[in-house]
Amino acid sequence: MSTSSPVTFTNKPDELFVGKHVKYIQSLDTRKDEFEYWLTEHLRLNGVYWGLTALHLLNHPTALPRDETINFVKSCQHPSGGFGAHPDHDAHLLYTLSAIQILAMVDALDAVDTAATVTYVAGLQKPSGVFAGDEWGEEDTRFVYTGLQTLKILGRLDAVDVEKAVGFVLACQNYDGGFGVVPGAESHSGQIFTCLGVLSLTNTLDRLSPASKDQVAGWLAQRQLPNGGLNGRPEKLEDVCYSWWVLSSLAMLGKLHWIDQNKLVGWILSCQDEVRGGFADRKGNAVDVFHTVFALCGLSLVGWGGLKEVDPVYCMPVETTKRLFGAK
Amino acid sequence: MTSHGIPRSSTTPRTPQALEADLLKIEAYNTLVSQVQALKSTNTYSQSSLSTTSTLLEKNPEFNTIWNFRRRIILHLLSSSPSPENDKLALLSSELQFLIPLLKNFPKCYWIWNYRLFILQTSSAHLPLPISLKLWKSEMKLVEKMLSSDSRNFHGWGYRRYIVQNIESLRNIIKKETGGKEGGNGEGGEEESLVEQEFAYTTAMYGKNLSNFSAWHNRSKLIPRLLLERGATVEERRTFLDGELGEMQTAVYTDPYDQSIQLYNHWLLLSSCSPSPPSSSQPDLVFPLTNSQKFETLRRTLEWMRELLDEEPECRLLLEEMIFVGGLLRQLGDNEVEEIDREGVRQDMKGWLEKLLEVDPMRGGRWREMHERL
Repeated sequence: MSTSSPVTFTNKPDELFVGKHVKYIQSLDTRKDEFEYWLTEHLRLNGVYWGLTALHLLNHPTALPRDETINFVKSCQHPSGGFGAHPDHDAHLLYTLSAIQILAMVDALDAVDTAATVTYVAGLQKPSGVFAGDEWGEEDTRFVYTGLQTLKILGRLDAVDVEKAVGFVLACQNYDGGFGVVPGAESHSGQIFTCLGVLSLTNTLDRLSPASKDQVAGWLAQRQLPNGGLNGRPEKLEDVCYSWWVLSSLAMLGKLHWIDQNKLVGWILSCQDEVRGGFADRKGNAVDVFHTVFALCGLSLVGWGGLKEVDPVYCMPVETTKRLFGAK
Repeated sequence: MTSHGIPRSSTTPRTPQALEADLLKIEAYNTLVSQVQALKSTNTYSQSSLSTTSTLLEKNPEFNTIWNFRRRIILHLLSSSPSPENDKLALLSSELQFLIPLLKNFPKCYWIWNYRLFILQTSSAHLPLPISLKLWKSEMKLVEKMLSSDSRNFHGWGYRRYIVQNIESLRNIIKKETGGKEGGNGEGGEEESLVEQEFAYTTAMYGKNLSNFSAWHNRSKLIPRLLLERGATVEERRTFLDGELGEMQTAVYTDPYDQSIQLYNHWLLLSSCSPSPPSSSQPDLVFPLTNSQKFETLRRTLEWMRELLDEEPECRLLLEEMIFVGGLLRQLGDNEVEEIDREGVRQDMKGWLEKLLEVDPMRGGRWREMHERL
């Protein structure tokens, strides 16, 4: 019972508008006559990662020009080794991981100075084991995940104190089984993803007792609302991005079958823009690439036909993580 | 690019006039960005750079690089000229003031909250501690306003905990430095710990709305320290627990479909009625109960839950909670508590799980798995 049983979807595969989603993602960099394009420059590198991951899952991995992508990533690297969201933006772990993930997916890690990146990331670990997001020192379990995943892709987990990082993450677990931003903070699905991610990529998930795993899986299963969608915390609204944060966490725990996957799929599909492609946070809302990738990741995790398999720990195609780390 | 709750616009393309207006807006914005980037690349840390970044950040508070530039300007202004204390205070206070309308308009923007904390931390490094403490303390009013307009704001609650920690530690340092008094600003005699005040705040917040998990969560984190600082005896701890459990009974009766209440009740029972840890850690327990007291607590809890179930036979949260309580009962040590009818509890739990399969098919996979394991 520890793995998810195959689900037979009542929805037909043609209800996912693959061609429209590919076109939507390709159009993102041509929207320079929209104010929003300029306002979101601080997310550009993340946007490339979200778009590229979505295209890989849609089985259109070459729909973005490879050389341009690599050159853009290169242009975002600082002498420190970290990456900014755009050439003239400051470096931060959130962008550094996206940069490394993009290069991993297009198999071009040697295009940048990865030794410098290792130094940059390792320099952000604090004595408590946590990572700061950048030189200004914000601490958050998100940054433990982004820091460690970056190093794991680069094969350099040895550059930091993994044991302390794991200890910090475990200290963030609450009695409800969930995890918060820092010790003492409220459980949140996004934070649960990053913390279970840290434990998974460092092979320490079994530090959680079976009872504790059941508890967090139970909390996650409670996130499903009657319409099939998932929310991030008790008594909050559903949102497509939790189709990733909640579902990937359940997948890491081997408990995907603790929610109604069929209903979730129906709900995710209802959030598509059937005319112009892309997914929104909820039905009828404006689409964006962030919700688009996490909708597709969710569909991929439950085995939607025609989509490539996504790795719940790394949020990259399994094809990429297999190439990086070998077969599971 | 990460829009939430914005309705999809119509599919009709923009009119030429609308497009023209957008292009003008973009041009003006990009000109401003270029100005700021130029100041940044030339390390121009001046008052006028500060006000140019203000104009840009008001248009786009998500532009984190510009917040970083602003940090450098502030640090430069504080350390370059031998400015008197009052000027430093004025500069930092005006920074805090600048952020208020931004926080109101963008309450979920991480960068603004981070920048605000940076200003407060900088005040502790550059101002006499009693003056910095005043700045930290006035943050409580801000965070109270934020949480009264959105009582679940994740940033708001996290920020509140952080402010409280810093006020407490500053008071401690000042007390040590002044040999017992909290500085010469007329605040002597105040307690260093804010745990009573914070505990009372959670009571007030759930009093307004029971369904506030953030408040219940914070309460569960405060109680161990609260009881420790009160120097509560074993007896007082038990009385306190009974009070909380009684409140929960009323709350569950008020709304048996509320997850927040269910989760807090979970915490109370887990921290009082779990199987005993090795005896060495006994004094650290929040609620030290003997095994027969645990049995009695769980038995009473199940009793009122059964009564409620008669009225609300389809309530999945209640059924789940009963299974949780039953599980705790079955875990109590065999020898110590002989009255437990373990097989009876097991049969009850099976029945509740079967009912759950019927009323909560969404989570059927979980209930089936638990049923098999029983």
